[in-house]
Amino acid sequence: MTTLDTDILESVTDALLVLSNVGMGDYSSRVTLPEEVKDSSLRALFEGINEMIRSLEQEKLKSDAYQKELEEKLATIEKQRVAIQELSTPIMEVWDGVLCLPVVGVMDTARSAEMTTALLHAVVEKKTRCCIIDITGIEVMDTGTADHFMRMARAVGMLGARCVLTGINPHIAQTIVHMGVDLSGIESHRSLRQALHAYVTSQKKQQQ
Amino acid sequence: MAQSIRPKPLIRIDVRESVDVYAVQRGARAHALAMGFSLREAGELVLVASELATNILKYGKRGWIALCTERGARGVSFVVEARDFGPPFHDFDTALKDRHDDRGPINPDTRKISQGLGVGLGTVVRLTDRVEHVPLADGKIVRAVRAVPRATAR
Repeated sequence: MTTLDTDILESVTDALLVLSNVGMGDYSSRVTLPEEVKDSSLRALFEGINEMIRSLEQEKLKSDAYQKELEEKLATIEKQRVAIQELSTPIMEVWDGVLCLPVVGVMDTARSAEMTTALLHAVVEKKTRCCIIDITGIEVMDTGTADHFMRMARAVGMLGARCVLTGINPHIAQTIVHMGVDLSGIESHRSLRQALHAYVTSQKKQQQ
Repeated sequence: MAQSIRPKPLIRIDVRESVDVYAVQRGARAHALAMGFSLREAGELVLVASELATNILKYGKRGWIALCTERGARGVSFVVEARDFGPPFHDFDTALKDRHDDRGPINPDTRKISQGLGVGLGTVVRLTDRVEHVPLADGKIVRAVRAVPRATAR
């Protein structure tokens, strides 16, 4: 065997190693032929292999970029989901020790459960003395949910705060009454404004 | 008086994440109003569809809500079908009761908050005329039907 043949064999062995690296995701190496090798088809083959490695590397970079973009978008979606959750149950401190919870939209059992958890936590955290739940924005409520609402109001009472409901529309009023629920201890006013006014007035009276 | 017979196309909303429930609520409201229900009735049907969609997420892994219509002796009815790929109900009639799941009463001591109130299906029963359960090989369908009051049917 000539020196040239040995050199070619070595190049082929190296090439196999490079291809093995490519198989494992390493696109940094290239296959080479010693300059003495003049065979054009062999040169063309090796050049072809290098071309292929280069384009695989390009594809991998593109794919990594897409992956990163996708992960960022998923993270954004998750952040937005949390934001939607918080926005759908905004709990605002409108006066010293007075929380207001305006409810708008569809009050299904899932939302009712989430609201209860959020509200009870807020009542404890902010040492609330009065909690005004405004349901002007709720069109309909099922009796099961209305029942849950009443229990929530009583739970707030147990935590030492007054619970006031405002904005009850005639249909929901009928639903609540038909349930035959004990409404004592649950205050109701027509609007948030009236509820706040009543609270502030009662506080002033207490201080006199 | 003959009513014009125009079959309403079936609307299908895939339910895979919590945000899909909003799409179900919007779709149900539009469908109900288009069928001639009042605003309040449409609101009730939105609650029904919403509960069924939430149940898909909670127990059915994934699925879809289909909104369509049905013609019967009572005229035209709003139909909402919840298809999911979770286990079928063990005992549907028990599951329909408030504060029960499909095996019996939910014990408040062991109930997890994430399980909900156990009243979702109760809502569906109270606000519709008929609720059916169709167990399938790979899941189930829960179907709720409510007739349009005759005077306002379109």
